[in-house]
Amino acid sequence: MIARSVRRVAGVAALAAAAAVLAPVAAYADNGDNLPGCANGEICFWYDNGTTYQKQFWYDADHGGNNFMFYDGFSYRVSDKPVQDNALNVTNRDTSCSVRVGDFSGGFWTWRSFPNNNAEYNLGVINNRNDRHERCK
Amino acid sequence: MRARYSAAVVCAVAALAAVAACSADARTGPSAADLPVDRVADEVFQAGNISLIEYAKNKLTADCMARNGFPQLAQVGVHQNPEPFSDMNVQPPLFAQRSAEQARLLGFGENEPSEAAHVLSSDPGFDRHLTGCFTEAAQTLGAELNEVQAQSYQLYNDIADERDKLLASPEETAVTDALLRPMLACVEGKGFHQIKSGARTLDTFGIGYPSGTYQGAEPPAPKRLPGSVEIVAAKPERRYVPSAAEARLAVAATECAQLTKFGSGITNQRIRLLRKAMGEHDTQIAELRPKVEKVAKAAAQVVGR
Repeated sequence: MIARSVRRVAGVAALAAAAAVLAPVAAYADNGDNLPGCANGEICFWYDNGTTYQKQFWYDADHGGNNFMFYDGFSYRVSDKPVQDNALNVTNRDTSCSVRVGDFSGGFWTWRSFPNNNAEYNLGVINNRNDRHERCK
Repeated sequence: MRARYSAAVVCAVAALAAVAACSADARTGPSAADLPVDRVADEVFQAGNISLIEYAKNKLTADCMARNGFPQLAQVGVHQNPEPFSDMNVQPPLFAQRSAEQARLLGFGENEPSEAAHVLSSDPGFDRHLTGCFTEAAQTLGAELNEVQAQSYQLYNDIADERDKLLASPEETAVTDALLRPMLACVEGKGFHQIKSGARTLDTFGIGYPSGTYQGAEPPAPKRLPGSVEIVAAKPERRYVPSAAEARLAVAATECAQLTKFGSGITNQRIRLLRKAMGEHDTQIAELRPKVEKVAKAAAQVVGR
């Protein structure tokens, strides 16, 4: 859990661009597996225990500058909810590896690790304190 | 590309002859309190065996998918997590490990490692077969596969939670504060100041968190076309570039950590608390060990085929 980094500033511009690209593409909402936006090969973070707010990743990533996607069964768009310090659960559907989720707090990283077994896991003590995730570590 | 042939692979090959060589004593293992710091991931969390098990599962799954008309997993290569749970081998914070020159070049950051290509499915047919292939892999590696994998990660996360709760206790906060006082006074003596309100911590002085940039573009997002199976492009290593201000602060933090012995002090505290947290799970650790070893033995046979 950290104060918003400078990378968040850069991320806002990227987010706006992404929103413009993603907003009309409703097909993204279902990749064929009936799990909105979370396909085999993705690491997905969830804002709460529902499925409305979710963000998928394909690589290692800092969470600053990323917002949850919103999906209500009809529209699929970038929401106003940031991912950083704001995720409750993670689902690891990476086709290769476990993923570890990090919280940077007090000057140190602390990590939680999750296997790629498709289960949705609570982030435990670091829920709402997530700053980054890394694959295969 | 990540180095795939790590010590864990060497261990995997050796495991053909004797799985026990890669693990602790087959019955009980050493006490967590007696373990060398660099052996915790392997001895307590069975990192080598979990790496081997997951590699074998990936190999079986890739072979099965290829037989069913989906060669993509085999095409990108079977991956192995080289060092799961490695942060349990407690190390000083980066700035306390580095030379002043390294701190100047990298600030508080690290170069971003490369990532190998991997597979992304938007194809219900792929997904259906993948589920079937996971089941097939479990039949080969043993009915305990999924339970052993899930329990191993749960153990790691539970112990990490407990260690962090201990760190946040009033007693340990006092220990941390005592270590921080000379460290932060030293940093102030070099002309840096607390930049955020609140307690005097590394955070509020801006110490430790990389806030620079990586050189080079991010790979493009996958296309995710419905019905497609996509190879997500490999990501090359990217160089981390700190800002000039971050680099200056990192040099000061590195010099002060060495001068005040902050690095060794804070590391010793974390090792002590990790051992305490692990001690609370002795029974769980001992019960899980033979289960992991049993699946690892089956995995070693798969890898050796």
